[in-house]
Amino acid sequence: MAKLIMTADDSASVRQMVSFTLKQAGYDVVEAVDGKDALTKLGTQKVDMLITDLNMPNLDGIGLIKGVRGGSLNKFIPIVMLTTESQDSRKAEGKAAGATGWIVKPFKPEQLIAVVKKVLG
Amino acid sequence: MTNPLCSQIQRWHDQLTPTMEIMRRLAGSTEHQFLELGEKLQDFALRSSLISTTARNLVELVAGSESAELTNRLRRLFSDMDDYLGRVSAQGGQSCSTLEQIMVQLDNVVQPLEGFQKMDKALRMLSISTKIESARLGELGAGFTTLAMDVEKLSQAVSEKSAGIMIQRQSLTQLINNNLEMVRSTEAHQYADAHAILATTGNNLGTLEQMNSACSETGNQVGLISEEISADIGTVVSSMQFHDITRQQIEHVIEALEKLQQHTCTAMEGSGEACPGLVAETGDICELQTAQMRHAADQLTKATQAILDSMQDIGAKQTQISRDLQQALMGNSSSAEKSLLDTMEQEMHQVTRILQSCDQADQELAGAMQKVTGTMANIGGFVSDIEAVGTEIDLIALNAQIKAAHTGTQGAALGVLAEAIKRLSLDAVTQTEAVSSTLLAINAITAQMEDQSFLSGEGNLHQVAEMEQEARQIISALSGINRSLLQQLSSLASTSESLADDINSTTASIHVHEEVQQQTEQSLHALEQIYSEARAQVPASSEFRDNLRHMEQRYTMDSERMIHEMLAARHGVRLSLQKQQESSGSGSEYGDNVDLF
Repeated sequence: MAKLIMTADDSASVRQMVSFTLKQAGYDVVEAVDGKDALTKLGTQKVDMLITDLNMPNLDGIGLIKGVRGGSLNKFIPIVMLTTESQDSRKAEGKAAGATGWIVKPFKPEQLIAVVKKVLG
Repeated sequence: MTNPLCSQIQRWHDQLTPTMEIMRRLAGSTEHQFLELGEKLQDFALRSSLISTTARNLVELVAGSESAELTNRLRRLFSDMDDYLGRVSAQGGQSCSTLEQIMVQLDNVVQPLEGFQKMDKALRMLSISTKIESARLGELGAGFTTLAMDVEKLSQAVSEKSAGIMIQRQSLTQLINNNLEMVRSTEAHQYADAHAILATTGNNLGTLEQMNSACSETGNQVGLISEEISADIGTVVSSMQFHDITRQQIEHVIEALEKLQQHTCTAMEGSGEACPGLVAETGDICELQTAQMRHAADQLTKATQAILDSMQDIGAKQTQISRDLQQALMGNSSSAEKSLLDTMEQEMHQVTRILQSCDQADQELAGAMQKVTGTMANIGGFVSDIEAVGTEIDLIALNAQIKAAHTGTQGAALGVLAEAIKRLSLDAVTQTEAVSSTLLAINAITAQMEDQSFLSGEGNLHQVAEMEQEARQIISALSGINRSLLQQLSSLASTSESLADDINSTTASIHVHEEVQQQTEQSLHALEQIYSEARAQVPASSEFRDNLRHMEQRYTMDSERMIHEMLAARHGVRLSLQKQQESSGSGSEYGDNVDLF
């Protein structure tokens, strides 16, 4: 059975490309339009991994990570930040919140798949 | 607020509103187009992947184990048929040689048979002479009349038996000649034809293999091109993200301009003393945002151009695939492949017909040899009869000698006749021995021939039938494979052609970068005009340099901070952004933009 990955991004085109890349590699994907939407869905749905943007309306990526780590159902899943932000300070913030990794956009499909494979074991 | 500077600021403020409106539209308008493009990309990738999978299946079909096994089986069958023909041919040659030997032996019978005819004449003459002598002696020679009658009977017996042998010999000669003619004709035409057909069929199989090999090569080529297409699709995926990155950058520009507007509104509500500072600030912000906006638009244009290039590349590769497949289809389809397999099937049928005909000939030969054996038995009977005649002549001669002795001097002539009859009995023995030895030789040859005949019998007919059945099965299976190959090739060719057309038409319809560039130029023109006018009134302030230092934290993207740094350098300010940028990438095995914690 294929592993399920959630992608959270307020940009529909980025969600589209992330989903496309993951599905091509054989993963199932569930999409969330922002941090709040993601957190709501993660409250009832077990996923294997979360890939999230940083800057999103309603709830940003850092808030989402904190919410997931503070929850129960998906508390220990790998979370990779996929964002245009490249500042070390923001990375440190993400790491402190519980991010597993950080990818600066634009990503190459093979990079994303390599990271997913790595963190999913 | 009567200060001219303040009026200018008001004008700039008003000018910024429609400019920002253009930027807002710009930031939101491309989303739909990129999503549509993304959908098409997914569709193209899926279809390309299906083409790749079908191409792999095609390669497996024509170069896989099943196809190879069938081809090998057919080759083995050709070899078996060739061997079979070789043995038939060798057997035919041997049969001819044997029949020729029998013919030689039958010629040997002619001389003794002529001897029998002479003996017949001699016996008849002796019979007449005995009758004459018997009549001359009168009562004294009465016993010799019976003797003359016996001699005459013997003469008739020799004549009948030798004629019988002669007839049988002629019949045999005719039979053997016919069989020789048949075997030689088979040898001269059918074997040669069968070998030629087998050679042609082998060549046809080679041609079929070459066609399949070319097809397999095309399949592999499609697979390789498909891999390149996957790489191109990866480039498109990367470039597509610039839509979102550019949107964020434009939003940052709008955000900065909105703040400038708020600032000018707030400041102008006052006494107007702040106007020179506002002019400088307007110049600073417009200079920076012009650079940011230009970079954002350029980035989107470059990314779209990269998408276009990659899509054109994909389209060209897909067109190449379509062309390769069409060529492969033309090489394998039309009548070529079908007629090739049909021809092979017909050729196999011809060969098996020849093999069956060879069997038939051998059956006939076997039948003829049985007739030879039967005729030889008949001749043997005649020879035995002649042997008996020889013995009888001997007895009659003895009897004549005794009677002649009893007759005294008057029967001296009869004694002479008795001597002659006695000699004839010896001749008869000699001639029958000659015929007998020839018959024994012929019997030995025919027996040897029966031993040699490997074809006669049901087993060989079965073997030929099995070979034909196997050939039919193999060719039918190969036809099935080739039908499937043609279907897949045809499907692949049309799928790839349709995909190439769709990609090319999609590529031709991508104008988003031109629209973005056009709208960007409008907003840039307004910004540059404001910047130019502002700088003409008040040069860049020392605060701007400070602001550049402070603003570095606001810009989070590498590209934005690089522009910031570049602008700072132009104003003689050195920022630490480059250093930060260098340290930001981990240089991990996944790439500079990836950090795993």
